[in-house]
Amino acid sequence: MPELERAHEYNFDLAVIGGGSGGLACAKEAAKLGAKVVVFDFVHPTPQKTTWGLGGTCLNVGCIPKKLMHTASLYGELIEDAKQYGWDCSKVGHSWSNMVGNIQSHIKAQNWKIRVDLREKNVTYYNEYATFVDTHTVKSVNKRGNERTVTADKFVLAMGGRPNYPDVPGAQDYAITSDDIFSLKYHPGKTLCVGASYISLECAGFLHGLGIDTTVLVRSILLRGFDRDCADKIGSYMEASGIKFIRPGTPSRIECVKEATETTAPELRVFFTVDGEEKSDTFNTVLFAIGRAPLTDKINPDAIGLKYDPNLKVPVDEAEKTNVDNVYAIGDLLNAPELTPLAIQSGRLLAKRLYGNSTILTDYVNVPTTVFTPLEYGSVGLSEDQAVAKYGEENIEVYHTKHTPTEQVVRESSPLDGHNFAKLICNKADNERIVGLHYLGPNAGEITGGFSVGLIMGATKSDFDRLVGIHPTSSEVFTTLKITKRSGLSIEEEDC
Amino acid sequence: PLMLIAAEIGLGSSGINAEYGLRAVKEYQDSSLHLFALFTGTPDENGKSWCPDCVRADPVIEEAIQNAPECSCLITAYVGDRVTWKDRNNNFRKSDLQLTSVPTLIKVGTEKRLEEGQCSNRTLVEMLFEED
Repeated sequence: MPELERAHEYNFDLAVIGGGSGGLACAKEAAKLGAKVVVFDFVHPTPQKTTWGLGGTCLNVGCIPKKLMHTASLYGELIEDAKQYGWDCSKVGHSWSNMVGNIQSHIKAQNWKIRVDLREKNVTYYNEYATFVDTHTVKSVNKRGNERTVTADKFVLAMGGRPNYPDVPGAQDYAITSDDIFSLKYHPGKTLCVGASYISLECAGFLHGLGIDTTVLVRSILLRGFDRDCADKIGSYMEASGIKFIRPGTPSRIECVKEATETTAPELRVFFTVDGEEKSDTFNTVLFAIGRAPLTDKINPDAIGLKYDPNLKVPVDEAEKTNVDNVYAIGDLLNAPELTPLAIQSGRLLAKRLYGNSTILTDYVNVPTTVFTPLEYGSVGLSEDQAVAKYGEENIEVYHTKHTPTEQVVRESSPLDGHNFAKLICNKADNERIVGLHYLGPNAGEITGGFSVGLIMGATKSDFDRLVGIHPTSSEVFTTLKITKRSGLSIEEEDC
Repeated sequence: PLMLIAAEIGLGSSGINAEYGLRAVKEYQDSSLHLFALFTGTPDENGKSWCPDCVRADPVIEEAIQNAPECSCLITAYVGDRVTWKDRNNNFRKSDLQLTSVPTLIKVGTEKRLEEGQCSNRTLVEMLFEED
C-alpha cells in the first residue's frame, strides 16, 4: 500500500489511544488507506488485580464473555426443556472453572490474533499508557515504567470507560465488577449484584441460570432509559425465576468475614439501607454494576485544552471532532449508545474521511440493541416515553401483544409464562411510521437486527402488516399486531 | 541457554501424547522456561520436506529464535509425510493441539500460534518469540 504523502514531520499520521472496538477499527482502516498509525492500549488492573490483553472492553470484559456466559445459562434452561422432548438428562451439572477456562482461552486467542492482525497491517502497537504533552505529542509508559515520547499529526481518543465503585467502605477492598466476573478463578458463590443497569441484570441473570444464589440490590427503577413496559416485564420474569430483588435499597458498607483464597470466594457481610432501616446479609461475591465512567481525565486532557462534560463524556461534532482541531473521539467516550458496532462503524468512517475521500458520517439514530437478560430484550428506535415526549401522546399509536414461542409449548405452566412480548410504536401524524420496535423473547438480537432495516428505511405499520410472517417463529409476531394500547383490549394470548 | 530439540514424533506416535509431552517438558524444566513447538512436515530420506511453507519458514525461525529470551526451548515435531498428514485421522489433527495446517509454531501453554505463511513472516515470528 503506497504511503500517503506526508505534509508533516511527526512520527505518525495517526495515533489512536485505546485498542478496543472503535480504536482498532479506526487504526486498521487508516492503515489500509496508507496512513502511518500507532495504537496505544494499556489496562490498569482492577482493585482485585484483574487485567487483560489487547481488544478493549467488548472482547475482554464485555459483550463477548457476557454473551458466552448468557449462552451457558440458557443451555441450563434448554436442558430442562430437553427432558420434555424425550432426552434423558439425569446427570447434568455445571463447572464454573471449565466455563471460565474455555471462555478465557477464546479471549486470549483473540488477543493474540489482534496483535498478529495489527502487525500484518503495519499498525504499530504499544502496550503503554499514553497521556498528552501537547496537541501533537503524547508520553507513554509501559508496565515496567519505561517511557517514550511519540508525536502524531492527528489523534483519535478511544479509551472507553471502566466500571464505577461507590463511595462505600469495603467496596474497593472486597467487591468486584464486570471487569472481574468473567475471569473469576473461584466459583462466585452466593452473589449480590448491585445496580439496575443492563450490566447488573445480565450478570444476575446468567449467574442465576448457572445455579447460583443471586440477589439484586436496586435503588429505584430497572433499566433507566429503556421502554418501561419491557423493563418491568424483565424484572417480573427475573423475580419469577427465583432471583431475589431488594428494592429500593442502597449498600452502606461491606465487611470481610473470611478472606478469599486462590480457589474460594470470600465471605462478606453486606450492610444495606432499606426504608431507612439498616439490614445485612452474607454473600460470597458482591458485584457492583452502578455505572461506568469514561477515561477522559486519565489522558491529561488539560494539556491540550480538551473540553469534556462533568460526567467525563467528550462532546464532538457530527464528524467526531472534539474542540481540539486535530483530536477526535469515538466509542464509549461519546454521548451516544455505548455499543461495539457503533464504535466500529464510527471508527471506520472517520478513518475514511481523514485518509480517504469519504464524506459519509455515522448515523447515530435507530441503532438497534439487545439486553441479554434471561428474558432477552431487543429494541430499535424510541421507547414509548421517548416517543410520547417527541411526538405528543395523541400522535403515538402503540401496537402490542404477548406471544409464546412454539419451542416452549412443552413447558409446564409456571410464573414465567406470559412475559414474551412485542411492541411497535407508530407516529400517526406520519403515516403510522414505526418510531420504535421492542421485543421480549428468545433470539431477541437476531430478530431485532433483521427488522431494524425496516426502521432505517422508514417502514410504516402497513409495511409490517403487508409482510407475511414465517411460521412457527417468534419473529412473525410483528406481522400480525392488531391490538392497540389505546383500545384497552386484553393482550392475553389466544391459540393460533 | 537456548536448547533446540528435534523430536522425531512421527509415524507410530500419538499427537495426543505430543501435547502432554510438551506440557511435561515444560513442568519438568524450570517453570520460567519459554517452550515453543514447531510442527512441520517430515522430510524424506534425502532430507527434503514435502511442505513448501515449512521450507520457507525454517530459515526465518532459525534466525528469529536467536533473539528469543533466555531459557527458551524449541521442540520440532514431525507430523509425517504428505500422505500421513493429509489423512484426517492423523494424530496431530485429532489431538488437543487442534492442528489444521503445517507449519504451525506455538508457544506452549499460551494461545500464541502462527500458521502456514505466517511462519515465514519475520516480524510475526519475532513477536511470537518475544517475552511479554
